[in-house]
Amino acid sequence: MVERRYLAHFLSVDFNINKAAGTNDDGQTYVRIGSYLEQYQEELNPQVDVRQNILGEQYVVHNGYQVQSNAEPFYIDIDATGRDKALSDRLQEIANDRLNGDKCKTFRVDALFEVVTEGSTVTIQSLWAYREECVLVPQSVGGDTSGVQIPFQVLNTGNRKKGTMTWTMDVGGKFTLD
Amino acid sequence: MANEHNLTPDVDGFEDVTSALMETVNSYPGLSVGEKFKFTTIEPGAGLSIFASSGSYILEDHESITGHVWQQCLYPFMVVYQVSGLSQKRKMLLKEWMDTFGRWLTRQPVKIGENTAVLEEWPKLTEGRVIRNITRQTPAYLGSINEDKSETWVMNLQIQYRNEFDR
Repeated sequence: MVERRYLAHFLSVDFNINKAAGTNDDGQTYVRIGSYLEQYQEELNPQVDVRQNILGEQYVVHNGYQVQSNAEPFYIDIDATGRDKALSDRLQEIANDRLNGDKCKTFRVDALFEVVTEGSTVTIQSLWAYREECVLVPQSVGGDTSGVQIPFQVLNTGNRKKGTMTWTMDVGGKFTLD
Repeated sequence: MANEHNLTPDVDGFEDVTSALMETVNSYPGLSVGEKFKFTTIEPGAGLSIFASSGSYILEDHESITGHVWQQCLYPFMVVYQVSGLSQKRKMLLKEWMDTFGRWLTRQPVKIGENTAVLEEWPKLTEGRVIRNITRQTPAYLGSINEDKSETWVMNLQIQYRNEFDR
């Protein structure tokens, strides 16, 4: 069984899908989400219609997926060195200024990592990684006494690309298109 | 270490919380000059003491999808005052003193002489531990009368704290 922490979920905090690519990556600044999420999944929401023709045969119309994820709870982080600071800042801006449309558009990357040991060197490499455009929609501001929360939805909007993801605590996530 | 709740102990947390608690209670502005809380000292005439009844233990244990762990922990303790030969009036004053101390430790404003005293923040812990609150479980009460006629006055409190780390 693969430990859940090896499936990682990233969001670009640039909120600029037209940002120029870097030399070795797509140029986006990715942060890993999920510090306080006990579960998080890409809900595929398949659009499937099971029908029957006049011959009595069953057939399936599969029109694709309406993919989305819910991040709840998400505790805002105002500590300058906090790992969720960059995303918290943007979510507060979106929620407080009631931003919509392209101002909420960014990239998500979902990647499965594995630990590779070669001799005495241990590295973490992505088995697969996919980047897709998405829209971040804050759902509320507040929450209970455990801390200030801005839970949000991530709604995929297509342009899905395969690539390679690297991630370290100090550098953050870097995505390179295949 | 076992406890009455049969829960997992937070061994390092116990030491950390004890240290911060002792420092805080000994900063109480209602203490007389030279008066100090001792730690788990139950003997006749011992005066003020903090008695950690069952150690520190983990109430809830959560792990996020990134391997980040956060735990809700509990540190129950008693404030114990060993006294002897008190008149009825002195006993009433003693109970009032302990209850006032309990209010102060739970961050309620209290009157000490002419001044109002407030514990501005919870005691600071280390290594990812943060106190969420301190609550009183009982008012001060006479716990026992000892063989030498000395009395043990008791007040039960508990500290809830959060512990966070990455696996």
